[in-house]
Amino acid sequence: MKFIKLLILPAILALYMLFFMATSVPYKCDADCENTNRLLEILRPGRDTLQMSVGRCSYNRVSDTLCVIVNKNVTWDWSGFADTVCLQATGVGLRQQKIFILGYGTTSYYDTLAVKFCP
Amino acid sequence: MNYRRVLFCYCLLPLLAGTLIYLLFRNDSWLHDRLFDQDTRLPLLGMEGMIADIVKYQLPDFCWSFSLTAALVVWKNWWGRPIPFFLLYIILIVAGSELIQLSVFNGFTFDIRDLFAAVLAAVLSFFLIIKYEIH
Repeated sequence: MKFIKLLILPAILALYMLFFMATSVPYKCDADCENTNRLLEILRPGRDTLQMSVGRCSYNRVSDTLCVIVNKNVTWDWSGFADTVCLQATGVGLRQQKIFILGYGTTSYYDTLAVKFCP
Repeated sequence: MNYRRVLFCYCLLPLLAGTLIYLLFRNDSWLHDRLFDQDTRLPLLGMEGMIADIVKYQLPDFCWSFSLTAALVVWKNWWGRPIPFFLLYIILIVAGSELIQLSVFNGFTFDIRDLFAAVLAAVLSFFLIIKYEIH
């Protein structure tokens, strides 16, 4: 009986945790997220070696910064690539963005490879 | 302790109230995602203003915390042994459930008022049961 009583405690906590989780806000890809996904699809062809991802630099939804994460061990014209990102971003409706090309490699830190403020 | 009474009034009712508030006045939870389709105009009931915000955002946390505390106090009474600093553990759990939103999950938003409501509910629930239900 004592063991059963003890088991009830995690059951209570689990039940309330379920209620807690049920009130969380599920992730939805909004218009801005759709645009960044589209941008990635445009940038990816021919650049597979960059192992690239594109997203907002912060969780702030009104952010105008775009972070393009690439593999920095690849030799590339990062400044020219930033220009391309800027051009394509404008093309998908992401205007006047601040583009940050960030490189990851062997360490856990990102290196800023190029920055471009789109006109 | 009248377990049936405490479970109904202190556990079930606040939990139902909190769930109802969520369902009626909010529009962005996992519950809505599962229960309503995209054509449903949410929130089901619109409310604006400071009081409305308290009802929409702090009251569900208050209800959840109130109910959880009651459930734990019922369990402790049923357990039958003294547990030192029991209220402190409860406060740690409810405060932790708010504070964890600062770091781990993207689907939640931390608000200091939620934390205050949750801790207040825990203390209130605990002392109400101690005072009126345990003889």
